[in-house]
Amino acid sequence: MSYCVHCGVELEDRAKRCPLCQTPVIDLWKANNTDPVPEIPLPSEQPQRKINRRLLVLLIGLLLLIPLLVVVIINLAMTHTLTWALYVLGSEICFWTIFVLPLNGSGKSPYLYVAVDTAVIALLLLMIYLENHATDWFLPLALPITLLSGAAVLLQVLIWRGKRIGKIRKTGWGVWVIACLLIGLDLTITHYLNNAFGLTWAWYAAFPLLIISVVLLAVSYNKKAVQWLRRNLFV
Amino acid sequence: MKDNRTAQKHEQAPLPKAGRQHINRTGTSAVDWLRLDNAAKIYPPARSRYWAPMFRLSADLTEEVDTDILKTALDHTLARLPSFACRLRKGMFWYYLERIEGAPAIVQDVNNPMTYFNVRENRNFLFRVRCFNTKIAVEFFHVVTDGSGGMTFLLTLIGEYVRLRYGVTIPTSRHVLSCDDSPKEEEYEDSFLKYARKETMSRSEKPAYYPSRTPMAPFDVSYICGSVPTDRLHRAAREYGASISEFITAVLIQIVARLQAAEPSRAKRRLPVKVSVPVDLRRFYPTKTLRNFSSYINPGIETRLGEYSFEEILVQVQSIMKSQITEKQLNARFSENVATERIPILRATPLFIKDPLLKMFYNMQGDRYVSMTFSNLGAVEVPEELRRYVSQLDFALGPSKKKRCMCTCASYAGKTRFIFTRTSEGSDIEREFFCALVKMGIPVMVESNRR
Repeated sequence: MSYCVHCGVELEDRAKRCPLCQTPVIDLWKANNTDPVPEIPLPSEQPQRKINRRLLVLLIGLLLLIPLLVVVIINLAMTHTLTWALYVLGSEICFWTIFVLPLNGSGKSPYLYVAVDTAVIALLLLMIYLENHATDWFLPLALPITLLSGAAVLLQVLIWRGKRIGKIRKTGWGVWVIACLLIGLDLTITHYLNNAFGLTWAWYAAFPLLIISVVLLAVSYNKKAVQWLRRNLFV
Repeated sequence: MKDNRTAQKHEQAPLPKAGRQHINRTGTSAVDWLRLDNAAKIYPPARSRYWAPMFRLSADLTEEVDTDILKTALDHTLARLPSFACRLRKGMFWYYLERIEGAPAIVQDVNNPMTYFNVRENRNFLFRVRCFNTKIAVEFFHVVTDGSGGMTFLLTLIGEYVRLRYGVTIPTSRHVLSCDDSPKEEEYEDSFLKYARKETMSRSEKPAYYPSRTPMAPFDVSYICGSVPTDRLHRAAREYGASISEFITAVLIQIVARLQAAEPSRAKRRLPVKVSVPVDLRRFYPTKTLRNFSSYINPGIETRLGEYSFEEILVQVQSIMKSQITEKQLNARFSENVATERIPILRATPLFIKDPLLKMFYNMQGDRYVSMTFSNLGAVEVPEELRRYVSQLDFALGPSKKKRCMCTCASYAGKTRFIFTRTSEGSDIEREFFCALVKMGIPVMVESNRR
C-alpha cells in the first residue's frame, strides 16, 4: 500500500507513478521487499485496418486501364489507327499522376510531385499539339503558361511550408507570387496575340495584389506594426 | 423489405410497439424484431468508424471465472432477455433490431475498453462480453439498453453463472432475473412512447464551456478509477445537507469552473459550466423495461456572473436537481423527443437521407451543452446470496465523441467507485476531484490503466 506524496491518494501496489499527477512512487518499504503482486499486462486493442496504399495506387491504375482498353479497341475498329484514343490515354496518365500517385508516398517531397505534375501536363499538351498543329500554339503559348503555373505552385508550396516565417509574411509572399504569375501570363498571351510584349489586363489584376503584398511584407518586417494589428484586430 | 412492411403496419398498432412474436424451440416467447426506442434512435447514425456510444459494467468475482460455464450462462441469459440477442439493421425509414440466434464470443479484457467496437467481429451482437481472471465485463452499445437495463443483464448473467457453477439458486430481484422464466413483453417495451404525454418543453439551452485538450492517439483511453468508502462519502455529503449525486456534481462543477477561470479566451470564460447528469426514469413509472429509459438534466452555474463558492454551487445544483428531477419536468422533456420522432415528414424521410442529417445534428449538437458528464448508478441492489460471490461492481461510460471527460460511479459492498474516462491528455479534473475528496477527509484509492 503506497500513497502519492503529492495528491494524498492511495495507490495500487503495482503503480510506479501516481496516475493523477505522475509523481513517482517511492516506497522505502517496498525497495527492501519484493513486489507481492506481479503486474499482469493487459493488451491494448487496435483494429487491424491498414490500407495498403501502394496496392491502392496500382488498383486505381488497373481500373483506369479498362476504359482505356475499350476506347482503344473502338478507335482501332473504326479508323484502324490510334487517333482520339490518344487523348484518353494522355488524360488518364495525367489523372493518375496528379491525383492517384500522391496517395502512395506521404513522406516524399511535395516539390517533386509539383515538378512531375507540371512535366506531365506539358507532355499531354505536347501530344495534343502533335495531333493538331494547324497553328503554332505549343511553344509560344501552352508551354510557357504551364511552366509559369508550375513555378508559381512550387513557390507557393515553398512559402507555405516555411517554418520560421509568420502568417502575415507568408500571405505577403503568396500574394506577390500570384501577382507575378498574372503578369507573366499577360505577357505571354499578349506576345502570342500581338507579337510584342506588353501588359493589358494585368494592370488591373496584378497591381492591386502587388500593393497588398508590399503592405503585408512591410508590416510583417515591422514588429510594432504587427503588435498594433494584433491589438486592434483581435476577435 | 418484408420487415419494413411489418414496421409500417405496426405504426397504427396500439402500444407497446414491439415486433412480431413467435414461440421458439424452448417454448419461450421471443421477439422477432424491435423498433429502436426513442433515445436509441440517434445512436446508430452518431457512431463512426472510430467511435460508438458505449458503456461498460463489470463485476469482480471472488474466484477465477470459468469461461465454459460463462458461455452456457450467456446462452441462457440471452434466451431469457431476447432484446439483447439482436443485431442492428437498416429499414427503409428507421433502423431496427432483429433477433439473432447464438451468442457473442467471450473475449479477453483489454487495456483500452470501449474505444473500438466492430459489430461484425462480434457476430453482429451489440454488446461484448469480456473476461479476465476474476473479472466479467459487459460492454454495451447504447442502442440496446441503458445503465439500469445493462446492470440487470450483467447480474442475471452472473446469477446464472453462479447457479451453474456453485449450484446456488439466486432469488429474483430488481436486477437479477431467473433464466427459467420466459421473456416478458413489458421487458422490451419502449417506455418513452408509452408514457409520453402531449405537453412538451423545449430543450433549448446555452452551449457550455469545456476544457479543450490535446487528443490522445486513436484507440487510446485514460481510465482512472478511484474507490472511496460509501459511508464516509455519505457523511461528507450530509454535512452539506446534500445527496451524493448533488454533492459530487457540485464538486465537479467547481473543478471545471476553476479550469475555466484560467482560460485565456474571454469568450470561453463567459460560457456556463454544466454537468450532464443522467436520470433513470424507472423511478417515476411502473415500467419493467430493460431498454433505454433514462433522461438527463444539466445542472450548472453561470460563471460570468462572478466567482462561486462551493456552498453557492451546491445551492444552485440542489435547486436545479430538486426542481427538474420531477415526473412532470422529466416527462415534458422526453415527450419533446417523442414528439420530434413523430413528426410526419421526419418519419417519411428515407433512412439514407435521415442518416447523414442525424449524424450532422449529433456532431454539431451532441455534447455542446455540457462541460462533462456525471452518471451515478447509485447503490446497486444485489441479493444476499449473490453478494458472497461478487466482490466489486464497476460502471464506466465510454469516451465521448467530442473528448469530454466522463465520470461515473456505482456503490456496492461499502465502496463507491468513481471512474473517469477520457481520450484527451491531462488528468487535472481527476486529480482535482480526488484531491478535493482527500481534503474533505475521505480516503481515496486510485487505480489506472495508464502505466
